[in-house]
Order: sequence, then C-alpha cells, then structure tokens
Amino acid sequence: MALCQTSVLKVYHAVIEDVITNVRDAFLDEGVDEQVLQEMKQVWRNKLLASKAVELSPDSGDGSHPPPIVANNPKSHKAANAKAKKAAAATAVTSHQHIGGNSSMSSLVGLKSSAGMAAGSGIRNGLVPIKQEVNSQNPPPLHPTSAASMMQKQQQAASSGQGSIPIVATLDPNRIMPVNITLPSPAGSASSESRVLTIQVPASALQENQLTQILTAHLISSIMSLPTTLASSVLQQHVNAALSSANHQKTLAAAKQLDGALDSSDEDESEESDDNIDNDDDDDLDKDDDEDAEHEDAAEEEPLNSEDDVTDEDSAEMFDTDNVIVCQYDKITRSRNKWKFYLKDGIMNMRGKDYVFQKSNGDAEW
Amino acid sequence: MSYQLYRNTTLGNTLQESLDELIQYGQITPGLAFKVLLQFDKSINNALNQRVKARVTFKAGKLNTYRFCDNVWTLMLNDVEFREVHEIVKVDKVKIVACDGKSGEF
Repeated sequence: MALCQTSVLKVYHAVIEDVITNVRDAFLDEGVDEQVLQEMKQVWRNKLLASKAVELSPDSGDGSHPPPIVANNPKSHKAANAKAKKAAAATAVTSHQHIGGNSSMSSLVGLKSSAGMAAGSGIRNGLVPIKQEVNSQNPPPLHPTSAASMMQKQQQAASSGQGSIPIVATLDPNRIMPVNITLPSPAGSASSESRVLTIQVPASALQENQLTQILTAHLISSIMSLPTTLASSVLQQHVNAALSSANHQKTLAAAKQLDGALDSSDEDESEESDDNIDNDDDDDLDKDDDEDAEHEDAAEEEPLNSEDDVTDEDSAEMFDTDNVIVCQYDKITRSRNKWKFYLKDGIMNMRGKDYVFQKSNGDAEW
Repeated sequence: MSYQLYRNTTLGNTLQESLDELIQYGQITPGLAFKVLLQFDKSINNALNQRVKARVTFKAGKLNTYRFCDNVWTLMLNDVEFREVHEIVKVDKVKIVACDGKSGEF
C-alpha cells in the first residue's frame, strides 16, 4: 500500500494548490485580502498534518504570528519565593510552549514573574508540545507528582488532542496586571524596531487564558499601523469590552431564579381542597427541578481537565474509528450470494491513515 | 462530475474546519466558504480522476450489510484483505460509500 500512500501526499498537495488558485478571484471579488487566502491554506495544511492521516511537510511560509504577550509581575524575589512556599499550588516549573504549525491564528500568552513562575496558555490551533525546566532559584515542585511525570502527562494530553494544561501562578484574580505586547515593525516601515504596547488586565484573564481568545491575529494586524499611544488605548478598550462581556455572560449563567418566595396567594390561605393539594405537589416538583438545575450548573462550572475528565488512554482506543472508503462505482454485481465490486476514484481511511486508488476490484460473500 | 461525497474525508473535513474558523473570526462570509467547498468538489474529483494511478484489489470474508438508495451504495464488509502489488493490509471491518461513476452532478 506504499504506492497508495505516496500518491496521497501528491494528490492532497495538488488539490490544496488547485483550490487556492481557483478561489483567488472569488476572494478578490468579495474584497477579501490575499493574506486571508494564504492563512486558509496554512490552517488547512496544519489541520491536515495534525490529523496524522498523512505526513505532510508544512511550508515554511511567512504566516505572521501575533506577537508574544508578556505580563510583568513587579514582585521581589523574596516575597514571591515566600508566597511560593506557602501556597501548595506554586510551582518552580517554567512552561515553554511552541506553536505547532505555522497558523497565524495561533497566539501565545506567557505570564512571567521574577520568581520564575509562569502561566502558560492553551493554543487555539495545533498540538502543543511542552518543555519544562526546574528553575534552580526555587524549591522543587510541591505537586504530588514529580516534574518528570507531570511533563509526561502533559505531553500525553497534548498528543491526544486535548491541548496543554496551563500552569497558573497563584495570583489574586482581581489584581490588575500590566501586560506588555511587543509588536513587530510593519512590513513597509523603514525602522526595524519593534514597538511595545502596555495594557492593564486582571490576573483572572491571564489565569483563564481569556487573552488568547481576545487578542486575535485580525485585531493585532489592525492596530499595527496605528501610533503606539493610540494602538495601546484601542487595544485596552477592546480588551476591557471583551472581558466585561465575558464576565456578564458568566454572571448570567450563574444567576438562579429566586422569585416566588415572597409571593402571597389567597389559595394558600384557603382550606385545602383537592386542587390545592395538586398544586402543592406541583410546587414540590418545581423545587426538585430547581435542585436539578443547581446540580447541572455546578457540573457545568467544573473546569475541563479536572479529575475524571482527564484520561491517559489513547483516543483511538476510546473511539473505535471506522475504516471508511469513499469512492465511485463502475459496477456492482451479485450472483446468488457472491458479490463483485468494481470501484474507482477512491479515498480510503484505514487505521487512521489515508490511501487513494484509481481502480479497486473486490469480491465478498453475503 | 463533482460529487460532494469527498467532503467527508480527511482533506474535506479539515477544509471545512478551516473555513468555519475563518467565518467565526469574520474573515470570510459563509457564501465565500460555500464557493470554496464547491471548488474543492471539482478539484478533488479531477485530481482522483487524473492524478491517481494506484490499483488495489480486496477480498472480504463477509458482506455484512448493503444498502442501495438514490444511486449510492453503502456496504459494510468484514474481514477484508487489501492487496496492492505484493503488499497486503488486513482489517476487521470496512464501510464503503460509493456513488455512481457514470452519472453527472450529485
């Protein structure tokens, strides 16, 4: 089946190029930038590579990543170290994340404190291999698992498509943190100096990886042409608006329906009749419903990757992936219980790998 | 001939995911994504017809189920042995979805 697999690479490359070439005019007609077309191509190829169905060698294209965002924690070494010793969650492991693929949608947020604590962020696209180093300034990790086993677990999680497990510094969620965003110099500009924008965000936004969703490639590219001060204020406004709407949605989701407790009803005061007894039963049912709703909310608020949600099993074992052939038929015949198949132009997915064929003949008994 | 059945392959699914992301980010419209998918249908059909030369034979121990509806065969085979020249691949079960190779638009 080696021929089938080598054909796959060539065919998939050819199809991608053909699609990109032929939709270019449609993109221009709709006023969509050429860069978006290239981004689509890059994301498509990255996803194809991530699927592991084919071993694609991704182009070293010039897809621009959004700049890294670094939050400075102005704490002294001693204070931070003391806090790290007190809090069991504090860790001396620094998380270095590398973006898989070349997608310009991917964004990376790192929270660096002078004590060497770091909050890594999940990355929207691609798998994220994680390297971890123990910082010599700090005591070893206080987690029950060792740094090595922790690293192994995180790499397993990343390879099974769950993304990275962020390592979050223990900070007051309401504390306002300065975040420096380094913008590369625009392509057309004469000066090659990069600019630094500073915005203020609550620590909770860093801990919950909200910035990765807010600071998209589209947003960053739109402010790159603005002067530094204006760019900072525009970015600050955008982040504030996004965070406030996110918080508003959270509070709406957490809000409970509490009306009805202070209501007065004539029926309640009257003598008990069959109707009233029925109503009481209904009230009991309503209470049960409310309790169920509370339990559901509690379940929803439980974070992903917590306890029973995390699995070390390979996803292929959990989901019995079908071997599928998608093709066209020239002829399918049956004689008594013997069937003959004459197929063509097929794409097969066998054990997670893709194969292609021009012709495929086969037989089976029913 | 531009069948849409190849959209449900690795290449087709990854394209659809990519387009969904671009739509979510407001970088393209659903209408433009639809045009891209139509072009994908043409390109994949053409590529399979023109560029692929591999020939495979297979022998199934059992045809488990079959369905023929709207000129589409859906077959479930068990204990299948695929052979390409001297290479053999054996699998427990295979699902085949096949459209009519002689008809026009799907």
